[in-house]
Amino acid sequence: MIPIPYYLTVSALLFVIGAIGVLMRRNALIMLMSLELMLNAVNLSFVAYARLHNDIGGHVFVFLSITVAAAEAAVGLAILLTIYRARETVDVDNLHLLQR
Amino acid sequence: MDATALLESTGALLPHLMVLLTGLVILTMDLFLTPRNRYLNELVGLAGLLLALILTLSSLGTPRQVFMGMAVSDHLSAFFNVTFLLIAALTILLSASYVRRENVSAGEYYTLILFATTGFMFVAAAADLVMVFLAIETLSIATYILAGLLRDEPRSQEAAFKYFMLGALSSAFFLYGIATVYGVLGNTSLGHLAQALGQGGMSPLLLMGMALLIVGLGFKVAVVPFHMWAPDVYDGAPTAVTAFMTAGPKAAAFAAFLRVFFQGFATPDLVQQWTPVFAILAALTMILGNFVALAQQSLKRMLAYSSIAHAGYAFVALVAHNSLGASSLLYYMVAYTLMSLGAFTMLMVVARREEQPYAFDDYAGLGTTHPLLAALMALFMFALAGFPPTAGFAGKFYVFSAAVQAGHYGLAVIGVLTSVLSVVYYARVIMIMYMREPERHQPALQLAPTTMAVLGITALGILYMGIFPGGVMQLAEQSVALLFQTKM
Amino acid sequence: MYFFFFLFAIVGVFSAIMVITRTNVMHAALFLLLTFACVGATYVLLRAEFLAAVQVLVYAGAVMVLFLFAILLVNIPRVMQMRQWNAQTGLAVGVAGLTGLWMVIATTQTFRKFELPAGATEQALGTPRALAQVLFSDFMLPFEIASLVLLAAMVGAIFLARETASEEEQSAPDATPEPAGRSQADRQLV
Repeated sequence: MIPIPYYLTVSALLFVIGAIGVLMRRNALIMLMSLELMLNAVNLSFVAYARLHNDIGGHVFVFLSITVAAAEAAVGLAILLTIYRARETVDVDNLHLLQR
Repeated sequence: MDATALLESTGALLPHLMVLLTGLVILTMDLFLTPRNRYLNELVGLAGLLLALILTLSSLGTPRQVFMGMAVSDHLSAFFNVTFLLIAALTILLSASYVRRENVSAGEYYTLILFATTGFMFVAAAADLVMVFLAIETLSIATYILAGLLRDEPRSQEAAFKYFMLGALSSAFFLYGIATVYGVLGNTSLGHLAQALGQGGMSPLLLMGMALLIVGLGFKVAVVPFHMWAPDVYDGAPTAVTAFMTAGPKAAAFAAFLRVFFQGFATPDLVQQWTPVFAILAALTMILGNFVALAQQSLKRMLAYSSIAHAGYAFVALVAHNSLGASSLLYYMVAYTLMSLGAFTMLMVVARREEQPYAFDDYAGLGTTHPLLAALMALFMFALAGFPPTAGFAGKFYVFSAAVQAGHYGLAVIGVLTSVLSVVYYARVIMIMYMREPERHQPALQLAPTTMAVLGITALGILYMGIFPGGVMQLAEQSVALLFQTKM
Repeated sequence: MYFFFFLFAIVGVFSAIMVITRTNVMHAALFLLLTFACVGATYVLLRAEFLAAVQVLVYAGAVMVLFLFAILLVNIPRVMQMRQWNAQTGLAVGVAGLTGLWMVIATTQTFRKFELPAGATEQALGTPRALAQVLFSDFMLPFEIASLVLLAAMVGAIFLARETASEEEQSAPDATPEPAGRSQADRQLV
């Protein structure tokens, strides 16, 4: 039916869009969202490859990856909250105490 | 999996379970502890680690795969386990006074340290890419939190955020690499990777997957050009946590490199692909790490860049794809652990309070005010620079010999030259300690017994490994033998 | 079939671009939700029905709610600047773009001639039964380690985000007195 490379291309696109979001935006919340985008892209790749090899192991990987991504989102938001509490902003350009 | 297999598998992973259990016990105990009994945290922690050590040594046997091929229990995992247990024990000891001084919530702190250690141990025991990923995530998440331990200290908050963002980014790259490898080979088991490759799996996509894996793991080890986070994070994190971070996650990431690239991508034509990449990374790291360290004004940042440089030296051992290379890597991990933990403990001691800027001037005249401490610091500096008869010299000697043996003369030359360069900034500390007058009258430093224990253990370990390197090297060689047995 | 794929693919990529370009964080969050939904729909096309359900439950359900709480807790001015273009970000974007391009090329090179055999998508793949059979036998250890990941994240997140000591003192005065005779600051053990 639909060739696997189509799905993989979508996955690559989402990954790159997410990466650009992490690198380019300076609002910490958007950076976190872009990170989730990247992880979603990878999950899509896994499912596509699982279909290709007809192997359920790929689905298990996605299952575990979703778990880890949710945990990371929680930790990231907790860290973001500690910064917000002190500085009343989530703009990462204000994080400059550690410049070289 | 039937009951006997399950029991056997669990038995093989008992050390890991022991460490995890200790963490859980400390977390629960924290509910009931009063400020008087806080020493129980460290006591339980060390007791648990000791039990885990006994379990590791007693379960040494024939290498076997457990849990349906997800994990292994072999000499390599045992060697790394002992190293990680040592790191955890030393960290607990040096944190004892730190935690009281900075008024940190000790229960969660030790729990996270032990969870991270469990993660380290699972990395070393991984036999499948999914296990490598999950173990790395465990230790990463625990370490992100630890970097932000001092919740009200702005530098710590920043360190946690930067570490998290770049760490999570690298995890995404690593996961994409795993997905790609899975896509090409249909399997993520490290043992089967090598077999599946024999059936013509080489393709641009596989190389892409390998590249992504290198990027992901490279971040964790902080090799150039993936090192950008390390100076800021090591500088901003609480010093006890920095000590832990320079030793533990680095050693775990190197264990991951060994498992993935020496057991997984081990066919000769693949090795030909990634060895040059590793060589370039090693060279860049050694050069940049040492040069930038020269310019630092803060001792903590200088040690951060020196940590990057040492990761570069260890990387040379990976490039030399031979038995001496792999065993020298193991030796270097132990040596570097001792040196780094010792040096950062000294930092913690002399700084007295966390908000000090770790300027070099703190050390002025330490030779006259605290001669023993100054001597220890000098030992650590000599060891990091690579002077005999310290473990630092032996480690570098073995690593560069392995490189020469494999024909990478250029790398060995770069390594030696940059080591010579590093003497400049390490010697600077020693000179300040012995050749300058003490700044102003400061009350004498009184060391807690636990801190003295850490300094004693690391100093003795460095000297022992430097004078009698054979013992550890033999163990290391035994551990890596299995990596080179079944080469295709 | 093709129609649905292109629908979800295009909407998904479009809303992803919206996520990274919106100035209003709430809008970005909603577009992210749309992206998650499109990815979930794509899973169904690939016969991963259970995963599609998990995607909606966890990502659209839990993670997005977490983000929305965070957005509401954090007071952000409406107008935000995008990150400025400078050499460093330009380089990073360039590298990211090249990586994506290389990935697409490598993918199509390797799987150039591959089309799923006719009737392949009629074969069930991602049923809960199949997933469970594998998850609790072959992948038992990773499953348990995932729970360790969650535990570590939970302990850590609670530790970081709970009330600080100063907030606690304001709400309830401390009942237990400090033990007398604390060591003086300059005699502190290091």
